[in-house]
Amino acid sequence: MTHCHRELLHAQWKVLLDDEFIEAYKHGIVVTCCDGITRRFYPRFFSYSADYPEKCVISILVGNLYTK
Amino acid sequence: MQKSQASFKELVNIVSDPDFRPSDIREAKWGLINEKLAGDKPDEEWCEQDAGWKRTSVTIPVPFHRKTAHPGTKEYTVADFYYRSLVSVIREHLTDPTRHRHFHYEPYELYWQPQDTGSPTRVHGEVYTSPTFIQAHRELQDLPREASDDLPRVVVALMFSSDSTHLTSFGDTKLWPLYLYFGNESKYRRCRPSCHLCSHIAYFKKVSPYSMMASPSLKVNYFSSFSFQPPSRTLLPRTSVEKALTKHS
Repeated sequence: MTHCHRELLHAQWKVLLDDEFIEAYKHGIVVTCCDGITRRFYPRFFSYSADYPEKCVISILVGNLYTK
Repeated sequence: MQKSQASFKELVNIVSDPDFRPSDIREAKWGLINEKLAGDKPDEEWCEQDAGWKRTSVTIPVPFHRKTAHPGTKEYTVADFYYRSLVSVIREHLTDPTRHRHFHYEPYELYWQPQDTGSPTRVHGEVYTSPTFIQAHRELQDLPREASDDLPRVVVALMFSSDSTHLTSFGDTKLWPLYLYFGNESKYRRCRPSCHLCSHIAYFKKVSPYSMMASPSLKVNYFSSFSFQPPSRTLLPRTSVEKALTKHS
């Protein structure tokens, strides 16, 4: 069950981090901002806040809750 | 009370309007309209083009040990995973004129200089004044450029948060949303719901023992793993199924 739980979450993250996002991560997104300046934006991950059980799932960690 | 008085006034205004014709109300098919309003058609609402929500199904491999009837990996598909494209959310945020003024495109170091002491003190508080942001910004500037590209480069600090939420006091209706905040905004603005700085990215699906047992590809293995035949769904308490499955997995 734990394995499936984790697999499913990671599969869903794979959907979120699609080719379009990877392209944006590597080469940036060109956006003309409201001040008229065109900038190249690079998305970067800064934080992922979650409760302990959810963090265990995302970080491929076996927490106490899941070793039962 | 106040609300009902206000709506009563509204109703009076409508009825007394010169354009109002009682025949319009009389001839409308109220039964049909109510039915349509009450009807549960989530697909139409979720997949609206403007909202940008997408729906997909996710398939994962489920391993079965060699003592089960059909060992090896079987595919299990979870339908209705709703999400929004991260790039489109970022693009939407960056082109919003109301957010532009408060969006920090470049990081800086913040210092506090008390009058009587000599050395200034570094103030840590915002993402865009943090060493991590500054380092990310520097790394970005150092990346090799194409000859034709002279656009300013900006870090978009993505801050995800997610928490499984119970929707009801009784029962087990749950949602597991994924939110996104931008670190380029001040924390004092991020935490104000009225600023609408939180974007919903996805609603994660969870593996449920019931749906796994019902899945055609896994059904045979699950039923053969048990020494008993599970009774019908209505008779089986959820917790006992979960316990049984956890023991077997």
